[in-house]
Amino acid sequence: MKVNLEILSSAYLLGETSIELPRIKELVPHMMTRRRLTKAAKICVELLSRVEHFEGGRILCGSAFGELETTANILNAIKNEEPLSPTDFQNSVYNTAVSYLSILYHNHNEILTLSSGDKTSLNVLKAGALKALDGDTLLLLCFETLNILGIEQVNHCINYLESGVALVVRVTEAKATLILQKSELAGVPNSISEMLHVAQNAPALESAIIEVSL
Amino acid sequence: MPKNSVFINAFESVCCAGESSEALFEAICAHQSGIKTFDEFIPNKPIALGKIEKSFSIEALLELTCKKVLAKSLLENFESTLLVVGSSVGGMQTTENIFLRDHHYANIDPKLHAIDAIAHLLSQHFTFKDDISFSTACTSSANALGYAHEMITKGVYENVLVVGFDTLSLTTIRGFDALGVLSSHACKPFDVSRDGMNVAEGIAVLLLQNKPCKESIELLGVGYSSDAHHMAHPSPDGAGALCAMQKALECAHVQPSEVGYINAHGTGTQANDESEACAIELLFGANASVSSTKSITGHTLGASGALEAIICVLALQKQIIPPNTNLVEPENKTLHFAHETKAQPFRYALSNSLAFGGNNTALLFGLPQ
Repeated sequence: MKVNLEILSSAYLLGETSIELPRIKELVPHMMTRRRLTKAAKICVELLSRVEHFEGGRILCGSAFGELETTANILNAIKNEEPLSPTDFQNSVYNTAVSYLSILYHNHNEILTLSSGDKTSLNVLKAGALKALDGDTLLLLCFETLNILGIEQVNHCINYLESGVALVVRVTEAKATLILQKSELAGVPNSISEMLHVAQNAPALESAIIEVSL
Repeated sequence: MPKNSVFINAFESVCCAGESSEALFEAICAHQSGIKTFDEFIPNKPIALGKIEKSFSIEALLELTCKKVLAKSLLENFESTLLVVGSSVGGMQTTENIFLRDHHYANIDPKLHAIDAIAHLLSQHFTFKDDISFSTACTSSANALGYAHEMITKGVYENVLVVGFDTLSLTTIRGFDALGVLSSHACKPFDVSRDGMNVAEGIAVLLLQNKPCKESIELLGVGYSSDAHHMAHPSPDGAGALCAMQKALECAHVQPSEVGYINAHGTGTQANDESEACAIELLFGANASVSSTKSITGHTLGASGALEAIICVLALQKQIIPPNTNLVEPENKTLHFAHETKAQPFRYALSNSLAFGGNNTALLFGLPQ
């Protein structure tokens, strides 16, 4: 089955080591809440503030490696026989970032997180296309936050350690205007590549529509 | 859009309480818990866990379980099948073993660390048409089942294999200990004296298809919601769980009074059980029999949605209400808790899965229409 998705709005963030988020205090004014957010959650908050046409609704999110910093904190605590931080543990699940979005913006809708390695963003688009057949507008997100101490021991090809993409989509009968493919930017994680390509190219088109093969 | 029916046509599971689904169901009905106490996971603190006793690796056990499901099905292979995995920790156990041995990341294969590690592993033994993996903590495989349901109802796939899989890892065991919610004995869901949960490992594999076979049970409805309340605590009034259950019933056009059995999430923690009982009471009152089977299986985290789906399927096939174990004095005085195994005709069973981040999923199963 093929489903065409209209890209109503898009945004992306890339950082070679870290994405600067100067507006986070404005976006999440409550200090204690802000301090609990993971970097991925902050990236998602920033992305949400940059897209239009999404006033709350279903969210699909993808990440190949999830909350790597809290995972590393936990591993190091175990290695050093130190007590684990309860906050690190509750923030280590893959759905942490979008769960904070639901809490911050009182979104009670279906919010799912998937993780499919290099195919992650393609699968977010597939799952988004499947769900969008119901007729609503969805927010699709993907992110990677790989900037942890020692990442160079396993990372040999990704130049952008922090990244995030947001697309607001709905189903359309109109023909595709943008080919779904990987981003041409070298060094971005494969897991965000297809969605990044869409976000990089959609703003230049009068109507950005992609065809997704389920 | 035409809506296809979704049938569960083959399944198999492995957990601490049984090396097959039939053995598990017998254990539940006989109140035989698979939970045991271990000293080695947390220094100077015995904790009760659900560990699978196995003579070979859990990865080999996963492959074997999928082979059993294939053998029970009418399929020759999985080449036209979508694989949908649900897991909360993926390859974390492998990562821990390497990191705690080496004290660095260099020998960790990213493909074997992430959630996708399970699909990657299975792709070495089977050919699937495509695969996707969900990770939403303890709702992971319930959401995988929900996605499979949607793929079939909307006519995209005829066959979907759902795999719920989680292994014991120090991350989850010590993490839940840091939250102060681990019990030192088999948990007592919904009891006034409950004192926590049992982390467990489990494998649950189900083949969902658009056509029925001899003993099919239908997956009729799926309901999703978000608490939007707290990362690790459910909303005290159970509003999120209530919403998910209502949506599952609406999806299937089934009334609350028609549901005969509810397999509750029922972890044995103070917060979950109070909140979930409140939600069930609001929707069902004393009409449906309620049990948590986690005092037998432990909480298999990302695998629990699929494992408890199998328990619901067997309950419907056998027309037997699975009982609670270790429930002596229920905190909630309204709900109709099943204390003993009971043969009883019923048409619908509901399974709840509730997770960190306030992620809630309810699945409604029924005898074929």
